[in-house]
Amino acid sequence: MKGTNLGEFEELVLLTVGILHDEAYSIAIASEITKVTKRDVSFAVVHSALNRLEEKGYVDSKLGGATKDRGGRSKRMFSISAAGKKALLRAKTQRDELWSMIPKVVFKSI
Amino acid sequence: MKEQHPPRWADKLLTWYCDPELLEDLQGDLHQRFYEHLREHGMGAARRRFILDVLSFIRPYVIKRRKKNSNYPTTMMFGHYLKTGIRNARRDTRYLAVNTFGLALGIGCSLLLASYIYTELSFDRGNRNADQTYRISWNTIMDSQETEFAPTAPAIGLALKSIIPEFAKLARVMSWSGDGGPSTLSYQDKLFYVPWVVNADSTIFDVMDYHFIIGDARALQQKDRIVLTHSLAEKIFGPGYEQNKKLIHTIIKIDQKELAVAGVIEDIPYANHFRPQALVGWEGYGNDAVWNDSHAFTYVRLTPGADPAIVQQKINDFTAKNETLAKLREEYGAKVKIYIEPLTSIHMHSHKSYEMLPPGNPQYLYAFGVIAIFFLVMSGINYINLSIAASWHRYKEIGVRKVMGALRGQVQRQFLTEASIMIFFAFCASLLVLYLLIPLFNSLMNYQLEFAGLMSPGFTGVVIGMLVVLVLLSGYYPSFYLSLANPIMIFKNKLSFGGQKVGFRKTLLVAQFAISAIMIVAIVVVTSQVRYLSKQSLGFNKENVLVITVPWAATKSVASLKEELGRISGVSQVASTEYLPGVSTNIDEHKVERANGEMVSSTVGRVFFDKDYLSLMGLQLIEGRMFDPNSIVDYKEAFIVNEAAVRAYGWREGGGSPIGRHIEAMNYDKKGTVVGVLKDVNLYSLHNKVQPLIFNLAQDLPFVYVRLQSENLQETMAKIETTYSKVIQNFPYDYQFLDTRFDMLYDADRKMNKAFLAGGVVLTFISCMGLFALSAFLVVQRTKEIGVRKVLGATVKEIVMLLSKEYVSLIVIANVVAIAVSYFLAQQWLSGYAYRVPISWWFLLVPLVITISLAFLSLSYQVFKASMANPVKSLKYE
Repeated sequence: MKGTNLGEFEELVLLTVGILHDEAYSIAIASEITKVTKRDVSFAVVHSALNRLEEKGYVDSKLGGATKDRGGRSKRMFSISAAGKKALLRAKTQRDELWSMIPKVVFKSI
Repeated sequence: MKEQHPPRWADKLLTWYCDPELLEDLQGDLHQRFYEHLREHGMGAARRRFILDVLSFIRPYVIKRRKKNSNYPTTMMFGHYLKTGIRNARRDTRYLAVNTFGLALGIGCSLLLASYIYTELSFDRGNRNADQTYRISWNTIMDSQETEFAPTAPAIGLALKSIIPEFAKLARVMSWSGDGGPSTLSYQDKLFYVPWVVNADSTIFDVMDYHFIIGDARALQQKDRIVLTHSLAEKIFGPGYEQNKKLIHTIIKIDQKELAVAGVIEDIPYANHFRPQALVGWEGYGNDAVWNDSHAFTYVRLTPGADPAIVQQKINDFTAKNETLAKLREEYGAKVKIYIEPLTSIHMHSHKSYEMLPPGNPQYLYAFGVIAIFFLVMSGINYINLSIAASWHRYKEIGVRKVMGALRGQVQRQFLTEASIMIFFAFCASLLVLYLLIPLFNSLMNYQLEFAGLMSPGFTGVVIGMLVVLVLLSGYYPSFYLSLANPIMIFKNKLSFGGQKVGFRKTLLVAQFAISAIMIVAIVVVTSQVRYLSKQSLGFNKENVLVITVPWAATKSVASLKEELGRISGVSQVASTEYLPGVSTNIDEHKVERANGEMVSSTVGRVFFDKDYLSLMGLQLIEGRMFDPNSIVDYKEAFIVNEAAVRAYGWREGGGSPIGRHIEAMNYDKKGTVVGVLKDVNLYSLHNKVQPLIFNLAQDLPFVYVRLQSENLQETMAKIETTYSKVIQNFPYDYQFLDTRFDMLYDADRKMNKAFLAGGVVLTFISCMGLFALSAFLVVQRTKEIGVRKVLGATVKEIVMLLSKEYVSLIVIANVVAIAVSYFLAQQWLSGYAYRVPISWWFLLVPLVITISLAFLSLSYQVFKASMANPVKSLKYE
């Protein structure tokens, strides 16, 4: 199906949602990605990736967890959906398969 | 500590563009980030970061989406809108006619005024080199009195041309007759007066943009040549003169001097600050070395890219260093300032002595600009009120449309389409109105607007802009208002025509009536001022005085003419003078004795007249003696002055006497003493206080004043004409009456008055139409109420009171506003007059009475109809 592909950055975001488990909301996700990958990702890009993931049905979201800093506004908490899990696994299997197909000699000669 | 929060505007921007579904958490996120940054990096960084964040979220998926109606067939519906529009228009042709007419009238009138303003501002811009062309003029400063002259001395231009390299072309122009008056032209058996024959340097065609039909720019290089304008050539040689191969070198006579035709140019367009009818070569007048008389209008075209400021600087250096000017300073005690002024600013901004044509009046421009806006606003308001009133019966249609699924925007679009079409038609009609009004305006204002001239791209742009603004402002409100109606309310017949909305329209009505009231005050003030001026006692009797203009060339015959005229039975007195009201004030340089006996150079008005003038005009001597016509000494050495001069020079200070004071004329050969003092009279316009004047005895002067007895006027006048033609053969008879001549001094005020009157009538008419429509609308709303009241015993009078009282209070409010504004404006306008009519309380009462009675008239039809109606019918009304 068109548009259900998991892009590289989307995969990264989706994994981070998994890592953060109960604390997965946009700011936390953005800072986690920055911390782990050392990539300077912009907040807006993360936000739009989350939005895309939700459109594709890979994450679910619900509102909750307002704080004073946020002026009493809720956070949007994300969690991986069943489809998201499936997509992650598919990506992983595909990758593993590809890894296993690389002849050992290739790495040796580099 | 200052409260710490994200920049409010950025926060607002976010709220504005962000999709409400995303807003809650996104705004929370951004705020959280702001406070985190604040703790880590401080206020400045946090605020910057916040703004960047907000801006970075302007992305398609975040931006608020309008409700989707994209699959709505707009173009297809257009035809349908058109059809419903036409059907509705047919159903109520009366409203349609009134509304289109009102709008067309309003647009037409404001177009007219806009085209007037446009023409005034385009003066001299037709010249291809207008931006590089300047006029050189000078001011003389004598005894701290500075006088501005439009022309300068003939030598000045030549002297400047030889030292200033930026002067590419220079040309001088002077009036042929000396005073700008008409000259006689004769050719074969034709003999008539031509106004504005000028002498011009042959370079005039390099400076001014005149187009040759016959001949070329070298036309005036030889002596005694004349270039005619097209219409003058047609008048002399008849139509089709272009075919005449021998036209060039044909001899015609101007004031008896033979000149050879050297070319014909196209008529000079109205929008030029001087419009000669014929140009004669300048060479051979021997006045090129004259430094002390201002009669050369000097024009110069600068080299491309020349900086006028630098040129002016060079002129200033010249003025400071020039030896001849220094000598003049010594001799006359007169300093001069020479400067250049842009050609394009002459018409509007130059009001000097001896301007060739009366300059434009910026006051007019402002007044007309304001009235033009009034017209647009009024007709816009009217359109709004009328079209809402006319469409109340369309609520059912709107209801059905909405029930069938039409969105508000679609209903709006429908009405906007109708409005645009209607405004467009009204606009086309307004062009017709404009076309019909132009000749009226021209004759009223003595102006030359041309319909064809308005097709220029600049003006078209202005017109289209006006149209768009009008459609948007007056088309949008009704469509917006109508589309708001709630279908449920419509069908339950419970549609209240929202009090607030009617309130807005009432405000518009107040504005309309305030404008009308301001116009009425303006009319009253201007009318009474003009009347006041013409009723003012001038100090002499201007009635029944005929003035015959004798050309300078024929003034030798004045004595015999006077004698012959004096014999006619209906003529009581004859005199001659060189002054005629309305001809530029004759100001001249004199050395005048002051209180302390010192002779000081001064610029003073002077009048020449003959021995009979004072008694003909009834001017009174208050001190000293009259001129003695039999004494040759009086011609050469005696002056009479007016009281204003006595005051100005302080001759009575310390018990002194004006008699015997010394005066020395600098430009005419006379030196002598004051022998008499005349009572102050207003020989000039009442715009100014009486100025000091010096009177001189002379003879054979060009304006012959004839005092007539009031009986048998026709017969006497016929006799005068015969006598004239007998005595002066070569010059046609030209006469006017002194009182009309004086009235011409107030020509500008009179025009203003007429314009206000016409404008005020139309504006008031339009606002009455608006009131008529609004009352019709509101009375229909209250049909049931009126019925119930009548059943319960209300009288017709009570109902009339009930229905009209709120309008009366509205109009009173409008008047209060208008009176305050117009009182201020009237004060401003009157301050330009030395003699002004006092503003009395009834000036301000007039608009109140007029607007209330007019409003009552326009209301009465609907109100009486409603209150007379049979309550049975109105209660059945649904």
